[in-house]
Amino acid sequence: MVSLLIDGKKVEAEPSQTILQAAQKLGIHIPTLCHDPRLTPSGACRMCVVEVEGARSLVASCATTVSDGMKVSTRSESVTRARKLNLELIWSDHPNDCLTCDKTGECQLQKFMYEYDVKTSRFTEQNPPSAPDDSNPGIYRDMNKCILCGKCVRICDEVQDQHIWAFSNRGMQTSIATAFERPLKDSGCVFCGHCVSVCPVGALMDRPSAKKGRPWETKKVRTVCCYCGVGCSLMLHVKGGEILKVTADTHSPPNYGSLCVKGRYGYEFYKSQDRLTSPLIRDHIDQPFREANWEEAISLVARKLMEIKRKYGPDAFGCLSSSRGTNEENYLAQKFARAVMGTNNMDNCARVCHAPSVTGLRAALGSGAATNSLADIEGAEVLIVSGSNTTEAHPVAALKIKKAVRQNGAKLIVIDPREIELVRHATVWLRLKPGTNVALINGLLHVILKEGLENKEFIRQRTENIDMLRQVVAQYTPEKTEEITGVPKEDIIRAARIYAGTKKGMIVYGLGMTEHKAGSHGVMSLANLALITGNVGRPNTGINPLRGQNNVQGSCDMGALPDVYTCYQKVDDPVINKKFSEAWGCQLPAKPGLKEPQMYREAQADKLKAMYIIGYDPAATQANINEVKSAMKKLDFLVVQELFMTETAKLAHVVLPAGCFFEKDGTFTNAERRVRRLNQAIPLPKGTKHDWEIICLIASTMGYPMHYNHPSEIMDEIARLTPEFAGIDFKRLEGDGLVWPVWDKNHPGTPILHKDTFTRGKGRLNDLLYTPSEELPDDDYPLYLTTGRRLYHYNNGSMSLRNPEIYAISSEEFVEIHPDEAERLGIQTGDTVRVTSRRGSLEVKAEVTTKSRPGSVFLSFHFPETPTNVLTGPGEDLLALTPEYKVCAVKVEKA
Amino acid sequence: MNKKMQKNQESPDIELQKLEDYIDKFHTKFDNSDIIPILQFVQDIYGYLPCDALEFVSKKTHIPLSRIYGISTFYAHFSFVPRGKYTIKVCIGTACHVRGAEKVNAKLEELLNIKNGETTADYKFTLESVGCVGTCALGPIVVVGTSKKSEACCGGPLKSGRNVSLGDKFHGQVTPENIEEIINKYQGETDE
Ligand code: SF4
Ligand code: SF4
Ligand code: SF4
Ligand code: FES
Ligand code: FES
Repeated sequence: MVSLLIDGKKVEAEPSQTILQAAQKLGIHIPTLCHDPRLTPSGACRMCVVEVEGARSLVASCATTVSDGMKVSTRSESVTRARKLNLELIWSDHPNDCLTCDKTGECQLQKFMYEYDVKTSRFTEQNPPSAPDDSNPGIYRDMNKCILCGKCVRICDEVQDQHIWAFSNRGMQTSIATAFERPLKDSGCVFCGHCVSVCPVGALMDRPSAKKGRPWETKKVRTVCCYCGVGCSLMLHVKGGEILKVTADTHSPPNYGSLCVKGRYGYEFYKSQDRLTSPLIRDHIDQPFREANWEEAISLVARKLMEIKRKYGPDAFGCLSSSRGTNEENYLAQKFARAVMGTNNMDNCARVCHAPSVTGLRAALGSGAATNSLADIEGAEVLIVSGSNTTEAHPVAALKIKKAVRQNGAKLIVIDPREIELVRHATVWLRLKPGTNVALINGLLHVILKEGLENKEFIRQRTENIDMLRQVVAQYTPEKTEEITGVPKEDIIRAARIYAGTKKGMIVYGLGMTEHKAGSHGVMSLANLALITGNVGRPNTGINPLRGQNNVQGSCDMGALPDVYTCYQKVDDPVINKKFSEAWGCQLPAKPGLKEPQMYREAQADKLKAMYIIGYDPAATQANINEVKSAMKKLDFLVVQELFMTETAKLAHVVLPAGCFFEKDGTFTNAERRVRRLNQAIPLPKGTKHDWEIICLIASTMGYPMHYNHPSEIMDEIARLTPEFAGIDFKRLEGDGLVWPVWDKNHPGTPILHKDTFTRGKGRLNDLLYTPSEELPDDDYPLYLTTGRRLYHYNNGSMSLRNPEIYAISSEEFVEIHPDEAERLGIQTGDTVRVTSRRGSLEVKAEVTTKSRPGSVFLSFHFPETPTNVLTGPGEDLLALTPEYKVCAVKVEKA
Repeated sequence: MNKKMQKNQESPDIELQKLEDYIDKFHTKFDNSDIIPILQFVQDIYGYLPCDALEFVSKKTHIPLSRIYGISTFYAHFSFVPRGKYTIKVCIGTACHVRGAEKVNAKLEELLNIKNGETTADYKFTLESVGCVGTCALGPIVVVGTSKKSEACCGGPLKSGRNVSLGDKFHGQVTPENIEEIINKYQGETDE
């Protein structure tokens, strides 16, 4: 610590801190134009100059570190003169356009001109005109307004790591440009909008909000992004019931000001012309729908469901809820199935993504949730990223991974068959054959145990079953592992040593682990890695699933699963069952219900007669959708609650129009177990209702009174019934929310699980043999097909494709194919090809790329025109029944 | 947007082998200080900076294309458009102007069948104008550059020809009549 005087006031600061930081400590305001706490100082704008006693000239306070005994003046006459001169110089080359500029009111240049009373510039007679350029999606430019602060260049370099902007030319000609002035779309830009968010003036702005309103006219509403499990905190700018733009608060976790393209520009779908705005009903699915009023629709649903329950029993009904829904809605859905219908046939769309995480992590550690927080990523020394194309699927989490590597020197081990972007940053890349995860991880375990690199103390005190594990992994020598996985044995050994050699090793994984026949096994294997090296229960360690949709964690926590109530309290545990039966005032069924895929099988077998599907589109996103659709068509009655006419809604008898996440109050729980408030920003469109209201209406009409005035009352009920949520209420969630478990009203939450003991007592080392995928390539279908997400889209595309800015960037699918195969098949990028599996076939354009592993092709599932899931296959996770989206066999031909 | 990068996009197919060999001779980890020598090499072998070559450099070195572009535009020395083997610079400084530089330029445009600023189809000549080159007494002046780095000397007034690249030749008291002969001399030279 050194001590210095600023404007006569004494302050202590670290020697590494700048004068600017020290002044901020004192609450002294120094104007800045090129400074941002996230970026390395550049000293470009000279607005922040101060006078330091004894120094020959004024110094830039943002770039000068403090020293002991320094005497600083931030407001001396020469300082003020310099700043005024600076402003005059900037203004001489700036359009005099505040009257019509969208930035007015937020513009830093304008603000300082006001503060320093600079009315015009001596250095010019005529300010240049403004030069608007709205040719790019998302980002509006006006380079005549650029003051060359360089923040956009630096944030794109340092935070987003995309390096799109550069200073071009020199002298008066200097400007900010993409390489060769290419359109952003062709320059590698990922439209994260970071550059827009830091521009102090109106040179970079959000295109969709141009000319729609000034900052003081908008109401700012905080809410949570629903597009992925990062669950970024959003600030919506709303005027007259319309969202004008989305920004992020630099102080709020988990994203601290960062967003990806979906969070930033995915906010226009709600006003799409084809939003459902009236209940639709019909008697048979071959009839057209007709509009009905709510009363008619609700009583029809209630009557039909009661009829089916009476005729076929409660288990003829199944309910599916969605991770797009709030905790409160998921809670009510499972309450509806259990208390009103009397069945545990309850599931949610986590079944098709992270159900194996719940199964696997519960088996190993006792809790089916991420062990650490996302912020921990930045401080890890070694990161294993397995089966997660993080930069596309969880972009803001990827920023943390890149930061750990680029700025903090972490070592990165990437386990992925595809050459994903993170491979560029990897110390070791284990490019395994799809579906061989368990073998590969057994190989790593083998090396660690053989070389004695395990944490013996931790194993003895906190785990069980090490002997069996040793026996099983003994056979997975590096040679054998190479044979199964295709990964060179040297790399296996290297990766094992790196991970075992740190006390801050963190595992992050995605659906590339879970969507396999041995998905749950894969998760348990990763847990084995963490357990034998003792990398659990401390900061910067643990095993952390990145959840797909934002509320995958929450929908499972809320008991929208066939065997548990909230927070994994078992339905067949007599004490628990009694507790819920009493609370809900009815005898609840104790037999665990059907998982989603089992529901379709029962429907095919004519045993399941009715389904209620809330905000989920399995007819597009389940595997082998031809089967799923034919099962749905056999139902006597299908109710779907949706925003748009999805593939599933097209098969319904009743479609009920609901609200989207901008229109909701409630809570979401992100991948790090952070429960956070959604605040309704815009009114529900006329004719629609909240999902939770609809559930209550149906239940009450069926004779089970369900009434809440507000979602907060639902949360109060959840808290009463769930020890981990006991301390949670809406009031406490304001701000940045709470990380469960929150045991009582004073408990601060639990960012790190399993500190001293595991939820299940001892951590279980599961001894697992490698199980090959269900359907492997053969002579007829020689290629692996893997499916996954793309950066620009979300799920079935029903929301993301309806955002004009996003649609302008990405509007169609491409099948990724390796140049070797492409050459053999005579395929070039842009050619239309036919992809066929044993179950179906589709046509799609090809992209020839080395990103694909030789022998594998890749497709996303976002585009209705490319219904990838007609192809996907028969494989299912052995335990959780999650489809094996990552492996099936296909052939590709030129169409 | 700066004029000199407006075209550039459709660069003719280029041979990258030489460039690859050159870059491979460097190290494996590149930083910004490597950019200029590489750009210099690119300009030397192609006569300008072809877009494809810069993309190739970016891919090989992992230096972002935007940064390479930024540096290329910073130095007037680098050019994004293919240039002729000889750059003909017509001085249009005041002294040369009053002595008829305009007519010389017009004659050159006619002879070469290009406009000032353009390059002949056979990539033999690029015609440019330049501010006072400091030898007004002998005006009108035409400078013919044999070097590829021709632009280095036309950024502004030169003092006593000090910065003129090697291979630049000054021609004084040029007239529409004698310019043809001068050009023919270069025209006749065979490629090495
Ligand atoms: S939107 Fe993101 S990637 Fe694109 S230029 Fe701006 S900061 Fe870079
Ligand atoms: S565009 Fe904005 S952020 Fe970028 S340099 Fe110009 S003023 Fe700064
Ligand atoms: S999609 Fe995910 S990473 Fe992108 S803004 Fe939303 S929460 Fe953040
Ligand atoms: S803020 Fe310090 S130089 Fe710009
Ligand atoms: S004006 Fe031509 S040399 Fe000076």
